[in-house]
Amino acid sequence: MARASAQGRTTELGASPPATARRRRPRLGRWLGVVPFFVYASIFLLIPTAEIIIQAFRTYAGAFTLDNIKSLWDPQTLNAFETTIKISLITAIAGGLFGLFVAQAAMHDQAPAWLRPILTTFSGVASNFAGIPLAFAFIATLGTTGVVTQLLEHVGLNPYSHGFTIYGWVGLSLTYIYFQFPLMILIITPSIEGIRKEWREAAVSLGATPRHFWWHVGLPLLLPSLLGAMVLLFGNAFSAYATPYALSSGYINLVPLMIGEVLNGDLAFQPQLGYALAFGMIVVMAAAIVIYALLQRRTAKWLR
Amino acid sequence: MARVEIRGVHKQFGDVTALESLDLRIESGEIVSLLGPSGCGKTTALRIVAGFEQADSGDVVVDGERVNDVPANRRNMGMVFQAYSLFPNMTARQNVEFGLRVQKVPKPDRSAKSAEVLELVQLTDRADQYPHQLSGGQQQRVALARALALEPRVLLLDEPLSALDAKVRVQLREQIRRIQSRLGITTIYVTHDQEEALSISDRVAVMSVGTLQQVGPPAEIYRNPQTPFVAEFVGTMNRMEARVLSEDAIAIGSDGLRLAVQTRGHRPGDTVSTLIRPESIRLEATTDGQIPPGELVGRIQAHTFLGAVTRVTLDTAVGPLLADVSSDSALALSLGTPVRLHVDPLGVRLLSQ
Amino acid sequence: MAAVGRPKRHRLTFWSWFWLALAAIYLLVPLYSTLQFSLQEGQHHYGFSAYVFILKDPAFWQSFLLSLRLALETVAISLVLMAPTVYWVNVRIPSLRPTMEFISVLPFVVPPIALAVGMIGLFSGFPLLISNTQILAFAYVIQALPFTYRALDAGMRSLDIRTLTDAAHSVGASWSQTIVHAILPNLRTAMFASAFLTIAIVLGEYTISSLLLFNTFAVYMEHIGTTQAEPAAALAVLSFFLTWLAMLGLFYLTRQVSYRRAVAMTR
Repeated sequence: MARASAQGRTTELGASPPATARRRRPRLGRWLGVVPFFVYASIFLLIPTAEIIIQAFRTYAGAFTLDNIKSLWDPQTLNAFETTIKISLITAIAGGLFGLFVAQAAMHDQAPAWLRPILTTFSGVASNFAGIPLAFAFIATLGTTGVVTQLLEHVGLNPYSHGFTIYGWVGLSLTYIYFQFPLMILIITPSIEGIRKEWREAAVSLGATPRHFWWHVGLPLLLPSLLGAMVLLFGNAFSAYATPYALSSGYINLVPLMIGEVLNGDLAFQPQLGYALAFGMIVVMAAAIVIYALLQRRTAKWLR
Repeated sequence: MARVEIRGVHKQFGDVTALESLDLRIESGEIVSLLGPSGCGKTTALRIVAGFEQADSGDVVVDGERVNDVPANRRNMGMVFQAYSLFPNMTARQNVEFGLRVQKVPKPDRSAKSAEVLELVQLTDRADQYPHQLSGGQQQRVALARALALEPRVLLLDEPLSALDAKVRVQLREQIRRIQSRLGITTIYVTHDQEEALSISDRVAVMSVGTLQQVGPPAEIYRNPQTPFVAEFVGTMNRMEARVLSEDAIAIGSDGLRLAVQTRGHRPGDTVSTLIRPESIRLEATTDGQIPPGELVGRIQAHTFLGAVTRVTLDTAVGPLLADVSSDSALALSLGTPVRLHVDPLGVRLLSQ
Repeated sequence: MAAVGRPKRHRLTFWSWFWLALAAIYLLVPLYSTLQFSLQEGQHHYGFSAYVFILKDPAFWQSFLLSLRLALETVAISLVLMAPTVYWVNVRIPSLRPTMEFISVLPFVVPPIALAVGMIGLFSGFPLLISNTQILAFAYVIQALPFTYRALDAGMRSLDIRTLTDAAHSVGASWSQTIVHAILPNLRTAMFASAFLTIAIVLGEYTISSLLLFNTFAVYMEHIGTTQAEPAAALAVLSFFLTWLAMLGLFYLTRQVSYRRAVAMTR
């Protein structure tokens, strides 16, 4: 996409004011257009975030302390982190692989042309369907009187008699996967598209079977993208609040739920704990996004 | 090396006929170009031979064996694509060794073979670089080495030089020609560049709209085009209508300008297309007043400097004509100069209408 | 894979159809179950009484209209805030782009539940601010930020905004005139796309509104869910239907692009 820029317009200072007037605008003037946004972002995003980080290291009285952070290793909090990480990891990997296989299937050469748009639409809807309605949908499906539960009961395989419950971590994971794998489909599809037809045909002309191709060329090329997407999926699951609230609140211990409890005053009065938990969450999410960015750079090198 | 026969191959894409019952034979060890404009079916034909497309009817026969049902990955044909076909996650050497790895060739033999073909394309010193570190020309050379590593019985090239700079194109096509004749590998070369086709082929197959127009050695195609399409597509051609007068004369244009030329194969009274290459016309400056009747004369309308040769556009009684003269002699021929045209009768071709 | 030969074809296709069928089942079964639940009226009776119940509940309308209003406000504020900003960064201060990209990623790093901690901590001293539903719209703008920014930025980049700007300037337009008359009309698709996505997000938002004790649509839904199963299922069906509508609108808009890409894939 070659853009013909007008002469002298590509300097660091950006496009010049109306060509007729060559007067020197005050340097501050050009920042005017972005001030509203930065003020807004500061009030509603940057300062609250800073508040979290600062307060995480402060006692209620305002003195500097590491106690809040240390309390993250208390049994209850540690358990929350472990459970949340476990569920996030499992749904990221399972949802990720599932999404990959489905995306691959839809992008097959012999797949009918209407398949991809339908899949994209469904994936878009499903990945947005998280939250309260999704929790209800899965209760209606696999709850104690759920449609599928009753179906399985007919066949003599009622999961509840084997210790399963939709409110446990397995049930929650199954619910998460509902929006995880479509999200994976949406993310990975452009990368799969980036696998050029020429590479596949070249491999064929050199005697390779599809499996050879995917093992030696396709998968290595796709791997950074795949891992990056899974990292996003991880973050997505880690920070979910509404879905587990409606489904597993009181049943299992998750970091987002704990934060909610602190904010609602349900937990023993530890005001700074909320900040510490939020800080811990930010650290996890920040690590995720950094890993994602590094993997993206790898992808860009090969697939563009 | 293998002999390839395309017999009556027909291919339709929806309601577009890509190939109309194509018949072509490529002998063992020869290099045949499929030459034609976009959409003429040359790439389709190549892909059918490779196995990436299936012919609707007709056969592809290699060494007497029908290969229509043989999957593409078992036809043992090396293919070089137009661009972007190197695996980006592998070095040049690893790319070249890919086919050998698939065949489970043991490492020492693999290394030896890949070193050998990389030497052939003169890229030994770049063997450990990745495709994004190589220039377009180097990438295509690696692609060629990769195809040759498996010692295929047929080599297929789909416009391998189209994406490259002009100078690189010329260098690389010479290198391809050299390698091909050294290995004696049967080769089918698809291109839309007639200079390329003429310079590297044993035979050229000119195609248009799914049909084969003419097949023959480059010189033959160039000097004896059998159809108006071939005449126009290959090289530049002056074309005029004429009437056959006798067995050694024709009358050109409405003025009936007489030209002495052999008319074998045509009867007096026939209307023919007269084809004259620009290089078959010699120009002689003339001063006004000395215009012998019946001679072809003209006035210089334009010059196009092409390097060694200058293409002169002439305004004549039979219409505009192009003549190629050496650039040195062109200096004397300024715009507006009246000239006499001497046509070399051996350079004239007649085609029935 | 390119035609690797007829014998192999159906083996590949088996797995393809397997995964696609599995995906279809996974996506559709919960929806069907919810639908069935919502139509239940006691033992083996089916009817629309759950839906009637909801539609007759004033709390439903209150919460739904609140969420709808907030959604539209969020869209309006987002566009008014972001469009000029993204334009400005693209044309005048390209060096600010990394900062903008960083900020657009922050809502992922500081998810709603975490941000709520910061917001409540900060604003609890301002009861007026926190007791007005408006604050939700302001928070939602931030939540939708990544999508809005990306849509507008991608839209502007594909438009070659610089040339458009220079062209407008060469006929004497001022900055605001340029934005309103030359740039925005061409960004319609991007703007509508981000609008639809924002609406879908806001309609389903629960975290911040529940913690700030507002009665939005999702909060109402959760409340109903704790007491009555069938109306809750009906609400879930409704919610899904609305999301579906929003996404359809989105895809209808970008249909030209998807169709072209779909055609390109089949070649």
